[in-house]
Amino acid sequence: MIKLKNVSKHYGKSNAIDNISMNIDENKIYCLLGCNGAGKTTFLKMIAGHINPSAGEIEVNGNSVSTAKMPEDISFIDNRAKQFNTSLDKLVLMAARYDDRFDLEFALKMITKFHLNKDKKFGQLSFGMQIIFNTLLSLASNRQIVLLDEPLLGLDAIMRNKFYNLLNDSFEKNPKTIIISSHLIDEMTRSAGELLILDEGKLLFRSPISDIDEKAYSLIGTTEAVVPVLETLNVINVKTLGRHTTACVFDKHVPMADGISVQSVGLQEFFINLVGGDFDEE
Amino acid sequence: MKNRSKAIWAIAAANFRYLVPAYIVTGVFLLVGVYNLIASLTGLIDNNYVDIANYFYVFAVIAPIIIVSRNFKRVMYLNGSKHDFYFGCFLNYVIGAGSISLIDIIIFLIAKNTLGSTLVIWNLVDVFGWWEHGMVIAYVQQFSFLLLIEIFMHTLTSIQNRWYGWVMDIILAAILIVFIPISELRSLLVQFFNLIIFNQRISPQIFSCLFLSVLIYMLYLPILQRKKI
Repeated sequence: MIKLKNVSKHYGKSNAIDNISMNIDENKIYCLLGCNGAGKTTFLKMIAGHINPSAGEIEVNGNSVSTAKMPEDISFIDNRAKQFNTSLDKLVLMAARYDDRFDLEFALKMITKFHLNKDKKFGQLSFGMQIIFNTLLSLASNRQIVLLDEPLLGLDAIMRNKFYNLLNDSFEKNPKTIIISSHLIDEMTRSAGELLILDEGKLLFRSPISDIDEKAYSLIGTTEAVVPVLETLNVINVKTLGRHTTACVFDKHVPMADGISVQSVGLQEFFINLVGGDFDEE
Repeated sequence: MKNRSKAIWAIAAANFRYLVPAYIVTGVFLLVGVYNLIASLTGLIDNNYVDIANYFYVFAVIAPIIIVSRNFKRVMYLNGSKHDFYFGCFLNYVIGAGSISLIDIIIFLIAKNTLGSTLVIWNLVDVFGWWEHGMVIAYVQQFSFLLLIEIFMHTLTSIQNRWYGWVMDIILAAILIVFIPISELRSLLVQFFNLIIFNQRISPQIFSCLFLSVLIYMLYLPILQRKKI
């Protein structure tokens, strides 16, 4: 569905995206993780044809993507997008007139569900509410591919819960490919099927979320016991403190020798280990 | 499938609706025009009256700037397409030029019939010599010229964030600075304005404006296609 071939994007001397090649399948929810400045927004903008890659090629359903050929199968609304300053019901009506595929009924239902006052002007909404409105515009677009950039930014736990329900409702009603960039790693497992991790513009990791539950674990024990075991495993990160070693592993479980304890690793901990951060840092 | 014509009309409607700064500035100019009229009638100033209708030209200059710099992204953020925006804007400019020209002619006609005996009325339709050709021809001549102004402003605004936009600004400034003092070059400039404005022959004036409008708008297409969001 989406193909990236050796895609790079440079801003001056800095590489926002560095030689990424990958395929993205249809009808799946992807969670795009990465630290600030990892290249998530650039990645999404290039797929949507909002900006051109500096090198490489992007295809959506076999058609090349660029600013001149923005794919009509994709909806991407920047989370900081400013809409016309009119009431929300007028905005969704305008969106429906711009594209017949737009699901007006779904959009109006979601406006009610999120307690957005449809008579309120866009400019009168809080930042969080503006993000929610932009997100529901994308989800109601009924396009095959929906790209959401930090849709959970500024939302409290209750609103985030509603967002996940909105996402699941939308996906059940019309299965589509959704790529969501987020910092709320553990929460995203509720909806996402596959995880993409970007770091310094590179695709660092890709895996179904279910595999992470199965394969991500940490080994804790004395250095003499742990280090030999690691030789045959896919090790993500190793930390040694005195005579003790803790290793984060992404691999099949193997029988462990005495003196090594195995602990499951949450998605957040796995992500931090992967991108090289120190989990104990203050 | 998308209903293209519905989307194009919807974008044109939104563009007209969300032009508040252009409406405000034009309104201020119209108020100045009303003051000018009252002052002329009451003898506060001499009897030269700059027709209010002229101030609608301000709208033709400002509206494209707002459409490009503000409305474009907003249309895109409602999942509008560049293709529909391109044709929607063209519709805006055709309707805009047609409406402004009509309003101008009507106001000028009213002013001539009611104030013509007491005031000297200055209207661009008259100044440019179009009125001599009759009301209908004057309408078409003014429409063509306004369409050219709108499309020129639209395209010029669109390239302002690109290097060739700055080059174009420099070229335009250079034309004004260099061409005006040098008589040979100045005559070229005069010939150009004679062609698109002060032309005594009707058809070349109309067709040169329409031709340039279409040409400039065709040049705008690749600019729009390259435009980042």
